[in-house]
Amino acid sequence: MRVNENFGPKDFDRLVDEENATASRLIFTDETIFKMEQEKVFAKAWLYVGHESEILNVGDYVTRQMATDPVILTRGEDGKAHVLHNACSHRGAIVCNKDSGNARGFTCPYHGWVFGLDGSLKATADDQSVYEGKVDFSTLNLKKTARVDSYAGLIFATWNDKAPDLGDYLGDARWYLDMYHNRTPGGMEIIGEPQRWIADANWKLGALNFGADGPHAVKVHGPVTVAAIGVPMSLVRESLTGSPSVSMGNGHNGIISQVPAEYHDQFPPYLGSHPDMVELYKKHLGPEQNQFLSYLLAGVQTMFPNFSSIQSLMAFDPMGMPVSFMNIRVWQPVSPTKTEIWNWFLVDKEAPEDFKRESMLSGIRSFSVGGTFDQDDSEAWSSITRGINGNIGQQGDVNFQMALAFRDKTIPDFPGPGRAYPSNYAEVTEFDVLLEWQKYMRS
Amino acid sequence: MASEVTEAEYRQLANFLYAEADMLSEQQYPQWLTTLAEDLHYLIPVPKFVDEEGSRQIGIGNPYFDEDIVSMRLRLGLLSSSTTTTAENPRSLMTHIVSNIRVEAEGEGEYICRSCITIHRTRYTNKEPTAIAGRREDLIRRTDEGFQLVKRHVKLSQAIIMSPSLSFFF
Ligand code: FES
Ligand SMILES: [Fe+2]
Repeated sequence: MRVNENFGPKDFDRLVDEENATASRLIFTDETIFKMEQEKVFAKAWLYVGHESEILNVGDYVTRQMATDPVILTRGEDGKAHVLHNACSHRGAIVCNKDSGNARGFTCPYHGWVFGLDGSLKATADDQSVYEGKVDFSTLNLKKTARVDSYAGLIFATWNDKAPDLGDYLGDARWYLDMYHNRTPGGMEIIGEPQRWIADANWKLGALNFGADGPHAVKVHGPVTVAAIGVPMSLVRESLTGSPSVSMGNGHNGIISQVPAEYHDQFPPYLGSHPDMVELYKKHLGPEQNQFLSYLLAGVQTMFPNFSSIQSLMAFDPMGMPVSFMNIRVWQPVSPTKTEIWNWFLVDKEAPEDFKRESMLSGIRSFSVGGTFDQDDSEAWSSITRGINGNIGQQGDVNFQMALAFRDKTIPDFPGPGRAYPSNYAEVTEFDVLLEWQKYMRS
Repeated sequence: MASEVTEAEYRQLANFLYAEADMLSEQQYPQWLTTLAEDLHYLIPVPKFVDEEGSRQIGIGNPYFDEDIVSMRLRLGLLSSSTTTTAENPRSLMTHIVSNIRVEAEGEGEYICRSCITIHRTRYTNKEPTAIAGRREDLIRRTDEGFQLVKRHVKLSQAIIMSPSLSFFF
C-alpha cells in the first residue's frame, strides 16, 4: 500500500481517524498522496505569496512558489498585486529568474517573448504578423491565479476560481491576524528578503507544529527558552499547560502562550514590545486582543494549508531585556519528505529604526535556519521522516490523542472567536489542521 | 591603510585560521570563544539572485547570522552541552576546509584576511553529507593572548541552505 496506490475519498476516512485522533504515517511519506495534495489542496486553497510592503511601487516584483509552481508577484500599472505563473506561454522557460527587483515587464530569456506586469503578452520573437493571423495571442498571456487578495498586509492568491472570498476563507482567524499582524495604523512591514532552507520532512509537519504543538516546546525548546529569556522551566511548562489553544475554523489553528498569573508581578505587561508601539496597540486593537498581547510569551498559528506565523520574545543578552519579533513562514512542499521553508520577519511600520534591527536580531537568532529554535525543530522532523519510512514504520499511526481528553473542554466565554481549549498541550488544534486537510483530500 | 605583510606574519595568520577550522569542526566552542574579540561582529547575509539594473533593497536584511560577542557566548553555550541542543546531539561530523588565504596589514596590529571556507558535514539523521562554501573577509587583531577575530563577513555561494540547520559556524 505504498506507492502508486489510488486513494479515493473513503481512504481518507481511514488515513485520518477523527474519532480516534490519529492519522496514518503514510500522509507524511506517500508519493501518491503528495501528488494528490498538489491538486486537491494547493490548487484549491488560498496560498500566501508575499507581503504588501515587498511590492510598494509599480514594477516591484518578487519571485515565489505556490507549492511546486513558481510564480511572480508584481505590482502592476493598475496599482494592483498580480500573481503570474513563472513559466513562459511559449515553451515554458522560467520568465523571471531573479529573486526580486523592479521592472516594466519580463522578457523570456529563451526566445525573447515579452510580458507586462499583469502577465499580458506584449511581443513575440518576431513581429506577430508573421503568424498570418492564425494564432490568437490573447490566449498566450502568462497564466494568472484566479484571485489575489490581502488581509493585514498578507497577500494570498488562489488558482481556484470557485474559492470563497479571502475574508470568508480566513473567517474568525482575522481577529487573531489583526492581533498579531495589524496592530498599529500603519500595519507591518517586511524586514528583509526570505531565508530559505530544506527540511527532510513533509510540509504538514511544519504546518501542524505551528498549529500548534505545545508539548514539544518544553522538551525541544525549554532549555533555550530558559537561557534566552531567563525564565524558570516551571514557567515555560505552566505557560503552555495553562494557556489556550484556538481552533479558528477552516483549518486555521494556533496557541496563545501566556505568562501564568502567578508570575505577573515579575513581568511588565507587553514585555519585549516598544513602549510607543504599545500605545498604538491599545488604541488600534480591542481590549480582549490587548489582554492577550500584554502577557504574551508566544502566539503561534497556521493558516491552512501552509502559512504560519509566530510572535514571541527573546533576549540573547543575559543582562538585557527581551525583544519581541514577528516571524512568518511558508512550508513549501517539494516532495513527500522534503520541504522548502521560506522565512521572514515583520515589524510594526511605526517602530523606531533601532528597534526594527533589535527585533530582527531577536528573530533570526531564534526562528531561522541558524536560529536556536529552528535548528532543533528541523532535527526532530527529520528524525520522524527516518523513523516512519520503513515497511513496518508505514503501518503505524501518528498520535494526537491528547485531543480525546480535551476536545469536549471548550472554554466557555472565551474572549476571542473560534473554539478555545484550556491547554497548549491539547493537541486538538494541531489535529484540526489534519481534519481540514482530510476535507480537501476527500473532495 | 592596507599594506603588505611579511612571510612570517602570513604564516602565523594562516596557522591561526587552520587551528580555528579544527576547533570549529570539533565544536570546541569554549576554546574558540577565547579567540573572539569583545567587539566581535559576525555576519552571514542571505545571498540573492538579482538583476544588476533592476535590483532593489527590501528592508534592512534578514541575515543567517548577525552576532556580537554577547549573543555568540549564549549560542556557543547552548551548543556546548547535549542537554541544550537537539540539532547537535549527537554532534555533526564536520570538516572545515580553509583555502585561498590572502592577508593585508590594516593599521596597528590588525589584519584583513580573506579566505575561502568549505564545510563538509554529516548529521546523524541524514547520513548523506552536505557541503556549504563561502568567501570570508575577516578582521583579525594581534593581542598579548594571540590573534583574535574582530569581524567576519561570509559570502555564501548558495541561496537555499540544503540542510535543515546551520547549527555550526563558518
Ligand atoms: S520559451 Fe519563452 S520565449 Fe520561448
Ligand atoms: Fe518548535
